[in-house]
Amino acid sequence: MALSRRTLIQTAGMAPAAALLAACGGTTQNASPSSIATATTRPAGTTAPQATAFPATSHMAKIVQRGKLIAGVKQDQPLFGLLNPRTNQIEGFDIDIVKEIAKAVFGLAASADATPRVELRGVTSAQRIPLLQEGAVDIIAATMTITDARKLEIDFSEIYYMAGQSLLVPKASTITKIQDMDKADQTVCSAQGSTSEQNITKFAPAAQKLLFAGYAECVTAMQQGRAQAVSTDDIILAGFLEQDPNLKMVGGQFTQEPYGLGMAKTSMGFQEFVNSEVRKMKTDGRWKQIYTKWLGKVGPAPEPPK
Amino acid sequence: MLQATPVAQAVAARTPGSVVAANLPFLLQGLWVTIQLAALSLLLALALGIFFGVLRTVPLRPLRAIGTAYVEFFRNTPLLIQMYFTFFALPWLGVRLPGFQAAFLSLGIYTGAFVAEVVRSGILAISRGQVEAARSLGLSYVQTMRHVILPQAFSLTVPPLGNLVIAMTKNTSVASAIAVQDVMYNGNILNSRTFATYEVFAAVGAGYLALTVPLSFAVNRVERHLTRFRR
Repeated sequence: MALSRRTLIQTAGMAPAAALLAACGGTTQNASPSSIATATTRPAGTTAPQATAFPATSHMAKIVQRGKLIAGVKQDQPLFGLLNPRTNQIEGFDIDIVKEIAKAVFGLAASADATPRVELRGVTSAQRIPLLQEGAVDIIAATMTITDARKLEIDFSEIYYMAGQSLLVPKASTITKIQDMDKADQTVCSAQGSTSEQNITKFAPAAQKLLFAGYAECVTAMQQGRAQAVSTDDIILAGFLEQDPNLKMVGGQFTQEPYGLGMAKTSMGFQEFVNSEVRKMKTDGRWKQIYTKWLGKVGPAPEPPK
Repeated sequence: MLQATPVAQAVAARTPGSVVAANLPFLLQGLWVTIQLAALSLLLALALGIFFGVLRTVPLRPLRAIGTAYVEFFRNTPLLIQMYFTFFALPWLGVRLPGFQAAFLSLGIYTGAFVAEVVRSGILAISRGQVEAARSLGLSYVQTMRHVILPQAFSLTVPPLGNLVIAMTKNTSVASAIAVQDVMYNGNILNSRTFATYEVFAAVGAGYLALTVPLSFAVNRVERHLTRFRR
């Protein structure tokens, strides 16, 4: 990972420390009122026009004061958030979305490089909500599906990507949709215990299922003719598509997984800010640009999700 | 055989054991596959083990070397890798085995290497004087083995063989990695549908116990029977 352990601890510790100082200032005499003063005046001093626009209590002001937007992203998901071993940088669709948000927070020009203003933190799926709730990250952009259960825990942005389950088949295959697999002589490969596997039963009940621990085994099994198709979320399949040009994705999305950016419920005003930025990205062409950059191989950029 | 499917159950409607109770046919179907896999693999392991175990004691160096090569290669690599190899790599050589057959072959060959060592140690435990006596009576090498050495060696090998049979029965669970629908595989599926983790895997564990405990008793009985003259 690009960031060292020390910077991580420092930045993670910063937000709670500032909150603590502010709290002390309110209740006791000797706790420096000056620390509150610096907290409110510094952003205006360092970054000129944009920062003054944020109310001092807002989460955006906090980020500006810190100087960096801390984002939790996947580092093992091809195309969306993947650590590039050559550059030691995490790259992908999610990272580019975060950089656009950072540009807006820090008032950077559209052409500017937001990399120095973003601190990326690799997260696993299980870490996403706890890290937000601890205040260790400002935002999560890590292929996270918006669900009602999660909405009770964190705030979500508008949908920034609509993922869905699809089919990966050999180039020569005549299969065009999930219904083509709904026959006893067809085998679909997926992962043991995945929701994808349960969706196969729902959409193609007659199909045989071959289930392994992971999808890499599925792709190998399909190349050997043990299965006619591999089925799971299209973004995972797109990663395999990139590695093996003898495959193709067919059938569109037969389920929908709306991805949202996650924010802590305590982040004042941040959800509205991020939402307006996501909306702008979708309408001014930046969303399509990012889509084409990372997912262009899968097909032309669709209309952004509503 | 009728295909059983996992039954989902609303979390609120659950009582301890209800997920397993509702899915007993699904788990038993997996256990039946486990039994078949264990039984067939055992036959292969015994056949290979006796053959290569004897091979390692013959007075011909090249033959012994073949036996040693088999034992050391299959005993010293993980079973999971051997199964992956049999399932995923053999197709590149033109042999595409279904999961069950690949698992049966791997497990039989893997366990056979251990059986060979047990058989060899049994043979070596019989004093050389018996071989010499049999040969001087005019028995051929094969006759000596078949009528004098192996019957005695067999009773010595029963306890360690019993260990291997039990270990192999549990090792069948590795086959779930190559999509053999054994009790482990069905347990995994059921767990991911119901999240009743403790309950499901307690039931799967009980399934293995139901196989291995009777096996242990059977091994003890055979041992008592074979050593009845020595007591």
